[in-house]
Amino acid sequence: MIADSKKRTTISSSLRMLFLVLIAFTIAVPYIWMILSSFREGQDIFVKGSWIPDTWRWQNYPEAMEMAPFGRFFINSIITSLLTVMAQLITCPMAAFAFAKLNFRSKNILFTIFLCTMMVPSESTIIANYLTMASFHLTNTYFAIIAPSLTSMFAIFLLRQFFMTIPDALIDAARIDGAGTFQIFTRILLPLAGSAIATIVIFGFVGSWNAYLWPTLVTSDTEMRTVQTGLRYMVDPDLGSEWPKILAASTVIILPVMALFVSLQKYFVQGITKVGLK
Amino acid sequence: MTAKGIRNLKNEAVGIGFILPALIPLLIFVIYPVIRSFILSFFSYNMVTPMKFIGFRNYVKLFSSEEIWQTILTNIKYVAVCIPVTLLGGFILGVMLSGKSKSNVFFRTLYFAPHVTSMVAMSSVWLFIFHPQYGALNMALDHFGIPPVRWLNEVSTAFWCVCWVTIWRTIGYDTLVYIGGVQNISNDVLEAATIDGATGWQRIRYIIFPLVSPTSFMLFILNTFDVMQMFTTINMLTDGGPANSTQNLVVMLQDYGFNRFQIGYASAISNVLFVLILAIHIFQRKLEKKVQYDS
Amino acid sequence: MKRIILIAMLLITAAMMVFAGGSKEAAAETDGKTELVFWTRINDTFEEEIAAFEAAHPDVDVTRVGVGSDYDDLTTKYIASAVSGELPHVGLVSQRYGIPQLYDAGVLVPVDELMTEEEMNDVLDAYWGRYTYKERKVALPFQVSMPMLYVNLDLFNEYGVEIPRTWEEVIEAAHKLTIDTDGDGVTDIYGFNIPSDAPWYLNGMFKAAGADVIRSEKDVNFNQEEVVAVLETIQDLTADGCMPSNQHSSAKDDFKNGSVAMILNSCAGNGSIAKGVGDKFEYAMVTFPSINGNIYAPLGGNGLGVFKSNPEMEALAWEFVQFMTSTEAYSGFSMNKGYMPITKSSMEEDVVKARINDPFWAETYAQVSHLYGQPINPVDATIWNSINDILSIIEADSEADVAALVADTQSEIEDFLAEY
Repeated sequence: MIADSKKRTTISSSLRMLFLVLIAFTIAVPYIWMILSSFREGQDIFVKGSWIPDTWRWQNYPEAMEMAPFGRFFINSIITSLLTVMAQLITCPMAAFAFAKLNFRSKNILFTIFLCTMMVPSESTIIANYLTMASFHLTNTYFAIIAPSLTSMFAIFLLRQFFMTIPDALIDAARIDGAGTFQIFTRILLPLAGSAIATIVIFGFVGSWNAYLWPTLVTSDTEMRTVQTGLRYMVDPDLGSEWPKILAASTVIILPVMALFVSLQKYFVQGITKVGLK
Repeated sequence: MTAKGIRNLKNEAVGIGFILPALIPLLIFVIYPVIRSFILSFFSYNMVTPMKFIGFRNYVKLFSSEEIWQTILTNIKYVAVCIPVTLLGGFILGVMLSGKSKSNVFFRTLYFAPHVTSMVAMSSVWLFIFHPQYGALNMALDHFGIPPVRWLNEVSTAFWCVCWVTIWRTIGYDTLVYIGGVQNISNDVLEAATIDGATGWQRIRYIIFPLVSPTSFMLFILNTFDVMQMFTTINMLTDGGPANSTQNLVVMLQDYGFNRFQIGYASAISNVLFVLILAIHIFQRKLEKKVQYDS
Repeated sequence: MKRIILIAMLLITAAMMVFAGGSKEAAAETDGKTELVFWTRINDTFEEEIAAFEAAHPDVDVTRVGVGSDYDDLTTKYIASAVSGELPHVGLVSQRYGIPQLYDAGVLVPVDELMTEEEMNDVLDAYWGRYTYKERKVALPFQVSMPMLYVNLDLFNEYGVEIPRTWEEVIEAAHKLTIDTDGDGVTDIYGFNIPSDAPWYLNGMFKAAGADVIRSEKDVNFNQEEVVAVLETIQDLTADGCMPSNQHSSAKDDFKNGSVAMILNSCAGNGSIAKGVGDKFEYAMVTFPSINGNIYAPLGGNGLGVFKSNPEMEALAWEFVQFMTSTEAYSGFSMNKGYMPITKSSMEEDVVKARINDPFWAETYAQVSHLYGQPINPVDATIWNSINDILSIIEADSEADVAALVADTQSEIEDFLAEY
């Protein structure tokens, strides 16, 4: 009887493992193909046959990085992504705090307006925003690249959920001790929000790192471009594209956000758990 | 003014003061363009010659075209296909991976990876995978004797390919959020249920599932926003084709706005999209209230 | 402590923004040279040409800015910039569309104001068609390309098919060269395909079939039976399985790979094809197919536009344009990429003659006499995108009503023109 149920547990746990590995493989397939193919010879990519390259061409990586000023693009992407994160760290927790813990009359209407902005795709605002930037002569600046993402409604939403789980008693006690609203925010709520903030750091960074349409439109100087636009430097409409090298560059571009996520993922899950959603 | 009035005024000022840093960028970069696009939808505007007021002509033209109805339908089809799959899949995987073992951490990290991967970088990969003649997918199927499929080039399959890539991108995110939700359920509740003799399935169906319903609703709403507004995936894979079968409203508005410079018409499309998302959102909120009262 | 960090972050952010915003203008001023801003596509670097121009003009600093990866990016950027007023002194303007809008926005200096009569007459006549708007020559043809039929000679030889010269022969050859090499019931090699700039080729075919689509500024008639007839041949080709439906975006890669026997493609795309084909098979560029005995090879590529600034800068910009279109500049970058010469006089130069006598290029250079400079109109972009839409529909559905789709496009064109 005991042996029987043990056996059943082993079977079910190996079935579970098999299922998880299958899903993992399905999700990883495009990455596997991309990395394998990034080592191919120029035209091998079109040849029917094995996924494994016949010859491994490691030089694709250094050569891809030389096809465009990727060093500069990386610096720009890092700067703009960090600036975006910094800006969101200022704007989002403050607004989230006000929406979660302060009482004022225009709160509900303002929150509704904020929520509505989540229903507007950036593609429909992009031309107006370009004209705004141009009229202030701000195109080709870091500011222009980060401007539309100075704040993130998604981050406000997440942090608000989190702040709502903090008991009001804590805030009332601090108020009795004579703390001002800003002090309550910086000394009590922010320190508690560590992992929730890790969550918005990841989303802010990733969103900015992966942005393509807006940074491409609002910059024209090569010195101001970011890695995503950089990929376009490798696609030559007249001379054709060297796909393995493009795939090599794509791999290199994807790596930093992966690294960031892997290193922060513990806090990230904590943050989402804490957001609570009760 | 009474003391209470002054206090109210002060509260108002403090509240708005905290919101201001977020409000200003939203005003400039979202709310102003939305108002502008609302106004432009009543004009004919090509960015070059002066704009002309044409009343509701853009809307009349829009709603009398077949394209808009097909596109709205496609938009809703994306929601109807992608969201149940990602929510249910995310829930199942979330329950399976809610433990804190090393392998679980590995799996959830891997599952989430597509969500942080640049679609611009991945687009050429997907195009090579789906290519009908020398694509990786057809090559793999060939080993099993399955004849090649014209994935992105055929009306019958292209929509499903876009859905597949969308699900690939979102399911790990939902999984992670569900892990958070499941971990929030106190162990006491689950243990009590086990002592009462609930099987694994019963625990999931009658305890975990109802208790994570706020998570489900939040994901339902956020995923809907994302799917309704998806652009890069479609743009990179099919650009709306073949025969508009994968075109959603964002791709359509981008086509008229950026490619044909019919800004007024594109603005009308963008307003239709906004109203559609708003309507769905209101419906979702109603549903949420109803479900929560019932349980 | 937290507050201090917060404030510090704010200050750093602000500082970086200001720093980043001010840097470029500061650099331009301290240089002491006159800066000439030149917009191109990202990969058109023109390094040698710009270096040569700067060597001849020591007080000029040419700043080349690669604003977009392709013509569409470039056009969007120009039109948005025309509204905001942030334009370069001189720029690559795509013939495909956007030039009429820029001229109507009043930002382009018509080049006929800057050129002598003699210079204007030296430009090959057909080129002007694509750069004349409201009876003004609004930009100078620069990198002129034409569509050619690229044929996989190995396949033609193996299956004993004659090189096609007319559209009917192309269709016939496409049927013969649609091949199931391994006999598994699935087509491995398609006979024919068109890349994603399909409207370019089709515009030439419409003209050859007898349809003048753009007649004047306000008179645009797309709804003609010849247009429908040409589109129906494409519908039939896909219905017969000789042309892969909705596979335009990879057509060039498919040709390089031997997966399609014939494609239409720009003569300037030869560099890419040559590199991609390598020594896998022999191919040739042959004359654009004729319809009803007419060959109308539509002019493609791009021109150079001079943007309004002040008379001195406009004069300098024109000097730069003249240099870029000279035989000296042409015979480097442009000729190697496969673009055509711009002037009649450069056709007589030895370096170009050597090219004309190269058997591989002979048909291409001979085709210059069949060039068709289709008139330009602000509605071009709408026509272009509508043709792509129609193709997408009729290739997916062999029963789709081409005439109805063409009529729909016509009403969109008329609406656009009425409101323009």
